[in-house]
Amino acid sequence: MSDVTAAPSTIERARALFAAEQLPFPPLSERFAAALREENPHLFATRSLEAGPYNLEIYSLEIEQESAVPDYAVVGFDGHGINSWAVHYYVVEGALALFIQLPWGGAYVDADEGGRTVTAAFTWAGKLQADVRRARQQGLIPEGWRLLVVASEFATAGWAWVPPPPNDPEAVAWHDDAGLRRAVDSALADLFAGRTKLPPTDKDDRR
Amino acid sequence: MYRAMGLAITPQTVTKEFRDQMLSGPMKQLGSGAFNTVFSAKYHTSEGLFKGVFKPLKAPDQTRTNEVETGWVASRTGIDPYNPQIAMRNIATTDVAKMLGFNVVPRTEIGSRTPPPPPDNQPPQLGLVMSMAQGSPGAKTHFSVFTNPDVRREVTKLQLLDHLVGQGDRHSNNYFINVDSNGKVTVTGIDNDQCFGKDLHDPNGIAQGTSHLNKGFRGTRMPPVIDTEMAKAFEDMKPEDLEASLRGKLTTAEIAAAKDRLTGIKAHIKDLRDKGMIIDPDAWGSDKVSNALNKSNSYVGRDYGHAYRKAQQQQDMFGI
Repeated sequence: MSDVTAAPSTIERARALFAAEQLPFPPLSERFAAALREENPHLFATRSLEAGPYNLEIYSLEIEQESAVPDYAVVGFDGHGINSWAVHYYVVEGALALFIQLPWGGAYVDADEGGRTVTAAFTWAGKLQADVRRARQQGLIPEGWRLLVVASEFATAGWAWVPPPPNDPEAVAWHDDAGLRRAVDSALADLFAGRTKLPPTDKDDRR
Repeated sequence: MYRAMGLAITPQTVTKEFRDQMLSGPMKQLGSGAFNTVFSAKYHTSEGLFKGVFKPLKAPDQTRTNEVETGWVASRTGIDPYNPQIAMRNIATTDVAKMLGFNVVPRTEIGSRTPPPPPDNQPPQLGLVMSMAQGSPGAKTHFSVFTNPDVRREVTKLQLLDHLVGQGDRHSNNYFINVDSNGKVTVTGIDNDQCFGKDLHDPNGIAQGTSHLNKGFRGTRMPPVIDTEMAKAFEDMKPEDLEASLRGKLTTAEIAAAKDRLTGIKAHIKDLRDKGMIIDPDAWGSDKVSNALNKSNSYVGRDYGHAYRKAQQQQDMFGI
């Protein structure tokens, strides 16, 4: 008999990384968990990353300006210097493009306070994903539309409904008032209540 | 040790007071050791007890196959990803701040540290030693603090320094504001490494824009108002003096870009003078200043707005 222990899978290594930081692991669908690749020992993604996720703006701009960005996820830690470090959780899946970037690992970061914020953010992220999926299933989010949410203390936080490509970036109405969680929850509540209607695309009309 | 780190041996990089023998006690790890190893350290120095942080330097990749620096700002501004010379950029920033007479960055020097066992007999490592920033990060500062005239003045000094050194990642978590019990204000910008790129010639180039070419910058455009002391500091700075200060730390192209930014700042100051927007140093509390500062042209305007909106929704724990 062999007592060789199987090497941990990529998702197991990612989970272990968060566990070592005493942080919860963010909600990740099975297909993303299976597709995760190790960028470096502290960063995992299902796509190639041209720049570190610390530069969140590059990835949110891609959603606003590029045509049909395929679904992907990023989890891990990135930054520079002694305090410009953050935990990153990006999930672009279906009608949601969510970018969470919160202080973690910096020399001046209060671990207790930071951990509470990260935990709250990940819990909310799970609910947000479920709500967006439900809205999409109910036909409230037409094909091609995405809810873009940026939750960051480094980049400008905010949210927007991004129309299907080709879209005019100037036409994306960005909301950057503080209280992001409540603002996004209200936007979805308005959608479910019929107070907000997103115009259907040609693709939806054909169904 | 210096060769392995790709660090030039100069009077400024030779370790002086920040050595094991000068420690008042063992270093303590801060933050996460997994991906950002930083230690708090106390040294007995000629100026008394020094409280700082020690961050070990990363070695460059001499084979030029693995990027040591992966930041977007660094890439966009032309910082060598294989040999980014992070220590030199921090030290150069400190030197330029001194030239201007702006006390807005920490004392920064090279130090060495012998890691404790296990394992035994580890070789000493070089690191960057910076004085500990006091106060709270801009991101956690109440909006009313940004109306303090002295805070406005000191944050604007940091902003002007960033325009000169081409610091492209000044967000509200990497500068600190301290107002002591006597009301004395200190502003300290940390993480001064995403700067002095050879491709950034325009001092407004650190401003965040809306395209893929500039969206990753986190600064603003140059301030719409400065005071007479700031104006004098820049008007007195000669390009050749700036070059002399940077020589040996940065490349020729990086120094040339810094001189171009200085030229741009001088032109901006002339424009402000023509517009009557150079104020007395004690006039930072005026309506003229309040009305001029906004999120596009000043750290003060940007971070006041953010802090104000945050304060309106305190009940939202995840209120970013």
